Amino acid sequence: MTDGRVLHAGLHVLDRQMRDRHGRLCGKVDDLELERNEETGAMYVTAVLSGPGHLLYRTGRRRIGTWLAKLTSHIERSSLEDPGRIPYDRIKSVGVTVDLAIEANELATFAAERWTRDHIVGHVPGSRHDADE
Amino acid sequence: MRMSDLMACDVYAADGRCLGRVRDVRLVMDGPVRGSLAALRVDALIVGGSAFAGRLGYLRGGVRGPILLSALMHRLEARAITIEAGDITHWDVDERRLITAARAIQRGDPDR
Amino acid sequence: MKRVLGIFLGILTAIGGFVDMGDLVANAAVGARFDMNLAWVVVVGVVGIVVYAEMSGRVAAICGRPVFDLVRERLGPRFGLANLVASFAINLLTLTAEIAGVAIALSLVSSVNYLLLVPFVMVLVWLVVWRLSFAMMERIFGLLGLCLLVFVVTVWRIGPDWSQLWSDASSPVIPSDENVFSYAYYAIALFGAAMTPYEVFFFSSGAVEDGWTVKDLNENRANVFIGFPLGGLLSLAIMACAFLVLAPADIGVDTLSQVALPVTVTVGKLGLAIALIGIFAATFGAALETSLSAGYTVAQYLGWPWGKRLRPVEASRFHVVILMALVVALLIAISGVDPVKVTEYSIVLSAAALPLTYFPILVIANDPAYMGDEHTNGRIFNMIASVYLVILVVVSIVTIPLMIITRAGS
Repeated sequence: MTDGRVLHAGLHVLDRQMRDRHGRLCGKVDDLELERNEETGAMYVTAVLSGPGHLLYRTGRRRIGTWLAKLTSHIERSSLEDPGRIPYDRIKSVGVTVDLAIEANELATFAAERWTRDHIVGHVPGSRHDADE
Repeated sequence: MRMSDLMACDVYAADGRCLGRVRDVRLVMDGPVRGSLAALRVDALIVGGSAFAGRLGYLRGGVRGPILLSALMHRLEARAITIEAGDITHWDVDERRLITAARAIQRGDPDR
Repeated sequence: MKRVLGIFLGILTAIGGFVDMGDLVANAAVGARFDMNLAWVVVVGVVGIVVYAEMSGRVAAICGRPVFDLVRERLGPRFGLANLVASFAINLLTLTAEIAGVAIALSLVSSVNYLLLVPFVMVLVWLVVWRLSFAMMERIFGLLGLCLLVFVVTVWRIGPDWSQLWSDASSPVIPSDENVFSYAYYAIALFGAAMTPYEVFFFSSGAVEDGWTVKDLNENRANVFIGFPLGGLLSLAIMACAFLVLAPADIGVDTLSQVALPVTVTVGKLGLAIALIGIFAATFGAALETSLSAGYTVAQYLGWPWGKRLRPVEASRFHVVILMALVVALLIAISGVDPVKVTEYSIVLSAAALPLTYFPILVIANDPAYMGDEHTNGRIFNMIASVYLVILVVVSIVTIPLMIITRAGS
């Protein structure tokens, strides 16, 4: 789709809710990665960055942010090299939410969710069922 | 480089005058198609003015009311200028300095 | 026909669910101390919550996004975080007050010290959040809350001079034994009790939980435009009871039992029993709402999956935050702090924090990109909403100084 849409980073992209390919909530757009094409001089958005480390980096805590992002940079069974970095080609659409073509559990933001589920919530009776009625 | 790095930069005119900080970045979806979408190209920088007012959407997002807020936000954003990405001569993001050669500096944002 | 029944039930639920610990304490305390001279504040507060709730319900129904999601988006991560911290802390205080309220209501029935009942209440609240469906939860406690109508019955039974009552309320004065500062302070407390922020977090998240769409907008408006004002009438009835019974006897409101005293005196034991059921339902319902709000605010700021409509394993962090909030509330309540004082602080600080969440909603309600061209605020609605924004900002600015000057209302 080369529709020539105009977006503003701060207004339309950053801090937007992301959904995975099944529509599940999977974090927010915390930052964007930019790369400059040396031949044409044009600068493009190459990835969405999401995760507590990236959010901290963006709000000014650069060193802690980078360290935290590295900490959560390995997830098994993820198709992403860096689960905090979603390459641009995995984005399906940008609108009221940013919809992704991948699964929520491939993302770094999901690691904490999975840990909480496996170590705390999953052990409580009734956690796997819908609430009654 | 990250968007947050870019939005922490100050922009200077060729004569050394500081024009303000990058408050927002205009992106256009007209690059080569990557996956499902055309690549988002950095088209222009919104410099100066209030980041807060800009983010609320009164100027570039089409938010229309209420009248009082609208007027207040336009006032706050009045000093914002748009600089085309192509006019930036020096991208010294590590030093947080961008230098533009643009002579005709447009006020406001032409989109809306 | 089914639709009408649904709307009717919705309105009843809104009426019964309107009052919480803050309203109980504030309206009774003010009625006992200031007679009906602050009744107008309840009216102003009710109009405010109607405007606020209608906007957040409409925003949630049309773009499926609840308040805190939008707070971060419009205010940015830094202001949004400050907003989150403040809202979460005040919410926690409110949760503590509500849990204490439930425990006190139960202690009045069982003659067990309320402090011993607090842990029991906390577990009960958690169980309901964990297992009872959203719709069931709203319905049951909302409808049981209608028992508070016994306060209206009480006023009727006392049979006051209605024209006198009306003229007292409509031409307010500052009582001779009070000063303008304490008057203003209690006005803010009443206002914060009527326009509670958690109500809006819950309301807008609830709209998403219930899957509201454009088709439900009219039902939303019925609940809000009819239900809330009638709920406000319940608040005024509580105030009138305190004015008619407690004020002449020079009884102040320091405990929850004094709130129900006028009912006991006028209608007897049966009246008290009904009042206690109503108080239990109101505070328990509010405890459910504030504990869910603790989860909603954090999860929506960070983009986590959230909601009762998901199985707990699908929203684990959300449920852990709720549990942690309940534990902290338990610890504060059990430390023996005066629950009425905690309630007062929570409503006064709520009033001060209102602009933080009201402002982004007002902006989004005017954004055609989110609302579609037909559902942005109309011109008149916007005027009223703007007036309230100014009121909220003024209230916000004067609250802390007033708290200091009046030494929190003493």
